[in-house]
Amino acid sequence: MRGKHIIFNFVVLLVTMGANPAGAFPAPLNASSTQFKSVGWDQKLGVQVPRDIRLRDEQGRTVPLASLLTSKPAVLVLAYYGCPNLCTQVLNGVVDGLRQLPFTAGEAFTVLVVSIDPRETPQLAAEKKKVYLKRYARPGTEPGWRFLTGSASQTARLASAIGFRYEYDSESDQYIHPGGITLLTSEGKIARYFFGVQYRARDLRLGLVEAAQHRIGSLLDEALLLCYHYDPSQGRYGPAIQSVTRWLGVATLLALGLLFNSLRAPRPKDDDRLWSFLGFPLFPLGASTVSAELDLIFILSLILCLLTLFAVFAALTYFSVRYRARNITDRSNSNPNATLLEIVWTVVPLSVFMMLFYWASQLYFTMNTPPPNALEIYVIGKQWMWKFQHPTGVREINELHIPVGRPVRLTMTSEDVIHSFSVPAFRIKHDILPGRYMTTWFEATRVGEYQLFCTQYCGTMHAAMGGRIIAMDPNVYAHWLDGAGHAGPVTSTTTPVASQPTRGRELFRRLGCVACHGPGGAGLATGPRLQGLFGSTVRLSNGTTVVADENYLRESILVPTAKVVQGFTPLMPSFQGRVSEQDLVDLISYIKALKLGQGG
Amino acid sequence: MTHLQEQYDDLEQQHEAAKLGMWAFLATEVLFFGGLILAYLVYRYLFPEAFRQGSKEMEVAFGCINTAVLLTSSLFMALAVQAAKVGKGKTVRRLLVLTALLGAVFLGLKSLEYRNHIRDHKFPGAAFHSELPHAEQLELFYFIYFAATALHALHLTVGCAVVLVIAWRAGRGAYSADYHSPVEVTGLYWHFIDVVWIFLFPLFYLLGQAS
Amino acid sequence: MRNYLNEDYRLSSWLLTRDHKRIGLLFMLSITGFFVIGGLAATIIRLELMTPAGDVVTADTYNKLFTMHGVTMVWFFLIPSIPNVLGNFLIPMMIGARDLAFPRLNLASWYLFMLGGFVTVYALIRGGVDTGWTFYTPFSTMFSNTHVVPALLGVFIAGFSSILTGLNFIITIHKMRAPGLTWMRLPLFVWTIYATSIILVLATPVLACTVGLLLLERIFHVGIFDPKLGGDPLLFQHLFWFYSHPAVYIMILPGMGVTSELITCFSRKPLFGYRAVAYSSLAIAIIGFLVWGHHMFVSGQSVYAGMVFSFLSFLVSIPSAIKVFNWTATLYKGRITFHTPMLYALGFVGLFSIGGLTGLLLAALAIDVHVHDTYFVIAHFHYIMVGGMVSAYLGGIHFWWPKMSGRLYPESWGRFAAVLLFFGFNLTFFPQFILGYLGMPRRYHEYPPEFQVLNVMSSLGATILAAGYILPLFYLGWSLKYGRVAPANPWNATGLEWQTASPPITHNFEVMPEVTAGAYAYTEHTPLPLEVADDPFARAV
Repeated sequence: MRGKHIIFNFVVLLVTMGANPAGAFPAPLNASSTQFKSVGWDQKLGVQVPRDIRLRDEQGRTVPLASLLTSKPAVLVLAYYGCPNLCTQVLNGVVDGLRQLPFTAGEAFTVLVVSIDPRETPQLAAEKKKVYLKRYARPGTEPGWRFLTGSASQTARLASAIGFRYEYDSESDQYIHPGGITLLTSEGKIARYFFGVQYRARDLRLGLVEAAQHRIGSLLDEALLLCYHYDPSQGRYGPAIQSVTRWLGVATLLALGLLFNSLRAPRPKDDDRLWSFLGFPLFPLGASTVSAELDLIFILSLILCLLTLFAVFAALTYFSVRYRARNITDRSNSNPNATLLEIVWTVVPLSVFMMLFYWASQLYFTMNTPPPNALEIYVIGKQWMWKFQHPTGVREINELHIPVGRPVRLTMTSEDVIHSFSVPAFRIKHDILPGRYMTTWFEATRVGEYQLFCTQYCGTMHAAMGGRIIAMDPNVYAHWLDGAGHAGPVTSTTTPVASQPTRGRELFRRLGCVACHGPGGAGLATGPRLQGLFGSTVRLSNGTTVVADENYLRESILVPTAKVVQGFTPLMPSFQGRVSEQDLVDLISYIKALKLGQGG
Repeated sequence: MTHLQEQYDDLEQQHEAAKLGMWAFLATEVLFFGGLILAYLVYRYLFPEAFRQGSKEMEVAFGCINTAVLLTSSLFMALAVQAAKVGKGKTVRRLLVLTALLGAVFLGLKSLEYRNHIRDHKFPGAAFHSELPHAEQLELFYFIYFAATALHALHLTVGCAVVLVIAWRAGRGAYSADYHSPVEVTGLYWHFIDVVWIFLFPLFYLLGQAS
Repeated sequence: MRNYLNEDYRLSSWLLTRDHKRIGLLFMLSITGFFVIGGLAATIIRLELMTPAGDVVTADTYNKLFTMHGVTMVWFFLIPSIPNVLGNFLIPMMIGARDLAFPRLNLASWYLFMLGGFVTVYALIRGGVDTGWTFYTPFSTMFSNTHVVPALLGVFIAGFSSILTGLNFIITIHKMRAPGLTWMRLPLFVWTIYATSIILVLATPVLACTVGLLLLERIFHVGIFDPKLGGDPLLFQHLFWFYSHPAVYIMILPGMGVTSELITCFSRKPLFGYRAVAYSSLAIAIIGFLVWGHHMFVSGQSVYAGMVFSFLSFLVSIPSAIKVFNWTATLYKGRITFHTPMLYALGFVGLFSIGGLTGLLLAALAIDVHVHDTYFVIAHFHYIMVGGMVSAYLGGIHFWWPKMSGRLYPESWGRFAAVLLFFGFNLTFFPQFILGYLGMPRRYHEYPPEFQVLNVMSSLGATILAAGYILPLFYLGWSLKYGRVAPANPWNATGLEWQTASPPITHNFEVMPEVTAGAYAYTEHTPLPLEVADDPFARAV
């Protein structure tokens, strides 16, 4: 039900927006007067006002309407000069509004004030003209203001032509009439209505630009007219919000469609990595907890870009066609500067893009902050292969098995040059530098096999330094890990070895660490305690503190003098060149596993 | 004989262009040395111990004397420029020769210092040797030290040569009160070399001496 | 008529010339040569990428090819293209001077450039370099077995050429302007060359320093960048991008200047918002120095640094956006003709807009993580460098060709080539945006088969693009002998360079000009540009 209703409204909206109504709309003002039902406005937009209506000018000469419209648009006000209230307010409103415009009466437009009272004389009209010219305060504009009178039949013709319904009230000897003004084109067609007694300068300005068929006004007006449309029911210019929202709506639907496509479970026949159209792969399917949000940011910003691009291209094309040298068209008032316009078209897109900046930064933080209790995997990159090691000590080459639905934290280093760990399906990528540990993390959401690339150029076989990430159901993963760890290799590249802490303990003994750090890392006078060290805060001999993370442990093994624990002398030799990256991984995971009070 | 090159309207324009040109050139030099100084600061931050050690191994006496020598040479240079402005060609020559001489003294002292470093196996590369625990970081200190001071010395050598040419020409009366841009521009360059040393000296010799 | 071309025909008069116009032409010849070298490398790269397997060249050769493409295109074509060719030729004329401030330095700049070029080409001939144009450590210092030292030495030397050129322009623009030519009356081409020169002068020394340290590390095996020896590879990246990001603006700013000249001329209108466009060039030059870290979002620099660099990268888009909008607004109520230079200028605005907007996508941190070092980046900067800069360069060459050569080029061939180039370019590089988001890494000799369709499209587009480049070589060459003789001002353009004969005399002006109005004083009474005869063979037969 509800859905139908909305669609119906939408259709009505489209129809009403499409058809520029020349039909009757009740005027919002003065319609409340119940006594004079026949008083009000009938909107007759686009209708030609008879050009042969004859009126009297201030000198009493009879002039046809056609001669008053001198190739300029006109502001037409119907009033009478003896009017005690409304007319004065209408005229004051007109003058105040016009005073704020860059256009001047007589140059860009004419003001026609016509009395609806046939008894009024040209002398009275001339007196009124003086009053309002003074209020307008732009000397030399007398020819632009015409205060007219006319016979009963001629003024009635004019009033009915523009849909101005009024009545004479003999009791008070006054005319009852609606408030409002009309804009006429230079041909005398009705271009705009503005109701009430106050007229916003912007409405007048845009109305005049349109009534003049864009012969007056600057680029700024043109830009404003893109954003503001005349709303006949209100008799004023409002933001063209509907058309904007409509386009944004369509764009959002498209975005959601694409997003939905990237998220949905792949049909069996589909390539489970790419979304293709007519054989052209167009979009990669996501398979991690961040991929959906990242795609959404990307698509929304893509839409923003396309909108901007569309605006530029549309303007380029339109101007190129309209203002090609051979085309005879109006080129007056090509204002070469409009600071306001420049500020608007810079600040508006920028502020929109700033939201994008904020959102993307936030996600970047998430992508760089591994959640606690993640599965810890060590990654060693070397020319041109990947080595992985699971917490249980299971090692793999160029293949990494992980469970879905659990965050995986990668602690990565390189044995030689810079590499980069990139899994497009997970939307993650991180450089791997030699000599330090880098971390990144991901959480797979779909079972499947995903490509792993090295994306930092690393030498001859750079393109071959790839691999696969195999995301498995957690149970299957547990089973696989079991099999790989104890029952021999599951895949050809998987090596069963003793678990990391076991290898680490052996190294700890073999390298002689025990001598200073004590059995089980319990600590001696010569070397600080290692139990419970990982993750704790260490006070150094120079008074600063440091959190004992992988990089700290690594540095302390390779360059012991770099950070000396308070209360100890730097006796420890450097192990640089004596331990491999693999040994370091084993040692560090052994130290990480040491708990307080643990025996050797 | 006119000194006005054909692309200029008058001598004043030519003089201004020459001066601004030297300033712009010095701006590029600042950035050039800036990269080295940045590298120094980064590694000093990363390896404070080794860099303090490096500073301690420097012979401060050499540094101090050299600083004094270079500052004095700048004084003579400034005097030479003043003399050129009033067109005293012979005085200019005398002062410039003194300037170049002091530059040569600096270079001589510097090469003595280099000889000592090399004798102590402190020249980075295969021959480098240090008993200290962070020998590699110390080597890095010496690497940046040699790079920066050698680059400075190279500038100074070029400077000496240019100053001597200018001195020779000044003696032959090539410059006058109207036309002395070469002297002034060379002066700018010489002061710049001096200023670079004023930065290098504390960075390599003084920081870390106190502790 | 005596002019700078026929004054002296001896080879020595060219090799020892101090005339800025002749030096500009020397540069034009040389960079065309380097463009051919870089272009040949690109051709083989595109050929290789037609199939997923590495079947045309070996992995090693492929790596050397893209390095050769990058190094020659960046340092020996793009950076000197507009500044050294058009800048040299035009700056003194545009500001009403007889020559640059330091003509001998200008010639020295060309010799340094050629020396650098030859040293680098020597490295390429001796067996090539396989580090990529970015020379990342420790690969370039400790692992690569190729001719890194001469290649870098060439770049180092060419850097001094850049510095001398930039310095010369700055002084010339400051001190040699004609009477009455205030800063706010300068043609925008001069403004952009000024901004470019500032970058050249301030960024290039950092490159020299970085390359110097790299060479020392490679030769002496001292770990300034190699972590095995205690160095920090990220320091290299910081220093390298501190130069190379501003260098991107060296490559695009002059193109923006040329576009401003072309659009005003062929719209017969003053530039919309002259002041904003002029200052935006300076803004680009300044902010451009503060965004280098956006090349390192996945390198392990701190997330906060990443955020700052991302923010600044968004900011640097403002001045570029101002330019694009103002060029568009300039067309409004103009009298537009579509001569070849205008077609290139319009192409520039379109392609540069696409390149710039995708740059915003790359500046957004999270998105960059996914597309970093993929073909998305490749497509993005080719839209700026090739779609933008090369279009502007060709547009400028066509526009000032009558002034340089004294001959008119065949207009219909020019238009055809411009359109061909536009379509070929889009076909080549648009698919690469998609490839990038799909995840195809750059610098891959082989790739997974699902990327093949788009790669084939790209390679086909490249053949059209190549045709678009080769055509002008022929008809411009043809016009030197058979083209119609050009009048002094065939486009009825404003600008001092059009007030002197085509080609100009050695010291540019018979009577030194004085300036009384701003640039682009086009009115509705300015006659339209000359319609150039459409049939190029009319005179040949």
